[in-house]
Amino acid sequence: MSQKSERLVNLTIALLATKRYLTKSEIFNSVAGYKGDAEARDRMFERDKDDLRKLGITIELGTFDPLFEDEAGYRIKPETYALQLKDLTTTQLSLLAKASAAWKEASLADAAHSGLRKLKSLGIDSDISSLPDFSITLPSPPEQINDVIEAVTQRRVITFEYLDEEYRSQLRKVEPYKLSHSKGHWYLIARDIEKDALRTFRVDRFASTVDISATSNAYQVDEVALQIEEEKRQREPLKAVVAVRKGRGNSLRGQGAISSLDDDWDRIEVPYFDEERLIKEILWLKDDARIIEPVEVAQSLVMSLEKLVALHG
Amino acid sequence: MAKPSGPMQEVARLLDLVPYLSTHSYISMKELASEFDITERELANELTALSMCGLPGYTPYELIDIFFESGFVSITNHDPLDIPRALSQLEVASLLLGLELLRESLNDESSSVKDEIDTLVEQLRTLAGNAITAQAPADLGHLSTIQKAIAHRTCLSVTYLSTQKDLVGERIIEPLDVYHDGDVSYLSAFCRSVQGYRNFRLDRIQNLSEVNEPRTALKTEAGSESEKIPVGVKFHNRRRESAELLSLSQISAQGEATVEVFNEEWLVRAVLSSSPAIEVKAPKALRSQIQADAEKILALYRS
Repeated sequence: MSQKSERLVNLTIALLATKRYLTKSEIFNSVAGYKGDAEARDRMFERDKDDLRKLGITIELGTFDPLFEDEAGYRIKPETYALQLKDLTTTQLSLLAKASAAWKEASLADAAHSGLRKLKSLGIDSDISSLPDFSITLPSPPEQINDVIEAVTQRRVITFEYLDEEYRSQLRKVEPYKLSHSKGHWYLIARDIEKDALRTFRVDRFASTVDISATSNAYQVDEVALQIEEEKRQREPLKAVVAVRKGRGNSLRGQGAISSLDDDWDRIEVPYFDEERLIKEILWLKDDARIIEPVEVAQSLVMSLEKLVALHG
Repeated sequence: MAKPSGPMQEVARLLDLVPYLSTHSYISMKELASEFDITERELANELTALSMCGLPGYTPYELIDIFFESGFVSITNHDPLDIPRALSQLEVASLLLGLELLRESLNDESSSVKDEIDTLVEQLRTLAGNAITAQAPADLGHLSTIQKAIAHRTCLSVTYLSTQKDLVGERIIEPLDVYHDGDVSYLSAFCRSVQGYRNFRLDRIQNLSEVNEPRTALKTEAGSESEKIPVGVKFHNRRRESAELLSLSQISAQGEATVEVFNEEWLVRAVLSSSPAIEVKAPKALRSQIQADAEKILALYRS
């Protein structure tokens, strides 16, 4: 056990217990562990403040009396130190226990477990048997996720290599706006500083570790732009008309209205968001499906196939 | 935020031990060590260190009192630290996503539980400054039934869409495990109809019910008995997408790679569907099949 750990705990206790701001000299005289000359103690204290901040503990700087030019002092406000969720029911705590267990061996398991431990310290009983019987596992997120979470919640600029569509890595410098998890992938909406525009990045396509800038609250989130970027993923689907051989094309059946074209073919209305994805879905069915409408989509399908034939000729 | 390492982790633990102990008096050393993921010896060291900490003055009146010699831990005189610490953003995010997943996996009967989850999710989102949202992986609708059958060691009757063969069929399977790969969740199971281990994509299961028959299959490496076929490919454009499709982590500068596939039919469909990004170089027979299949599709548009 290092002296440093003890000093940090003692510093936390002293700054939490005090009702007023403690000056540096008060801290050095009363808190155990500050040794050496003035300069050495100063350095020690600055490092300790940094270390506590890394643990999420905010040390506030203030003065005793704003009317006098007093020496500034330090304290930790219990309300910023304390757990933010307090009035949990037994059921809620049990649910959080289940949620934490979902990570099993995945890389966020430690965080989920330590979070749950803090909640258990509230002294609420958890009664998992009161919940319906279910258990689940979550896939491991990409290793960069910790850094991205830190950056997005503290508004820090990040730099990383990103794989473009041609699998080349490019250096990107962005202001992270929002992180979302959807259908197994983590997406980061961020403002690309060089391009001066919002982009959505998939975190598993990061090709390097993340470099986080030291400054927090480095930018303002442009809420309007963010909303526009988010809505891109929630627009109304377009509609295609597809001919599908009877008894085939099972992945399309159930997506839209079906009627019979002739003895061999059905006509299915298929909703789609993205032309490229529609073409992929139809080509997957080989010669059991043909796009009737939109005509332009059918044309670009034909063009891609002709290129494929040429490649294999 | 790399995991606070070494000494910082120790400080975090010391700070978290105090409120935990104050609500868990006389917890055994063994249980406490396992809750904090350290050995009993490490725990004894940390408790000793904690008993040297306290309010300035550091006389016996100010120091934290800890007793653990009996094998059970109790704590007194711990006032200022007697508050559980705030959740970190990473802790919030991990719990948030876990809750969303729970919510998805519940069936409709449990609406009161869903309400409780919604309340928690709302609170956690606020804590994350609304900068993090989570949606559970897709297609968890069948999950609770599957989990039940795995727990009961019973069978499932499934209606499954095989996109390789473009066929919907019903079969009896013995479920073994659910796993996720990227955005897809799979059920690995022993299929009684084909007498072999198969993986089923959850999003292609159209119908599912538990069959009260005992499972006989043992957990093994699913698919291990199939032979892999090496195929030489070259990527012409959209390399990232093709690499992801074929689960490749490395491709040469010229865009060439060898992939191993279980099933030629799957590869043919994958190549056609990514048209014209992927060229099959070898084997020759596969190359001409792609050519022929592409011509057949083109014929549909020429008539």
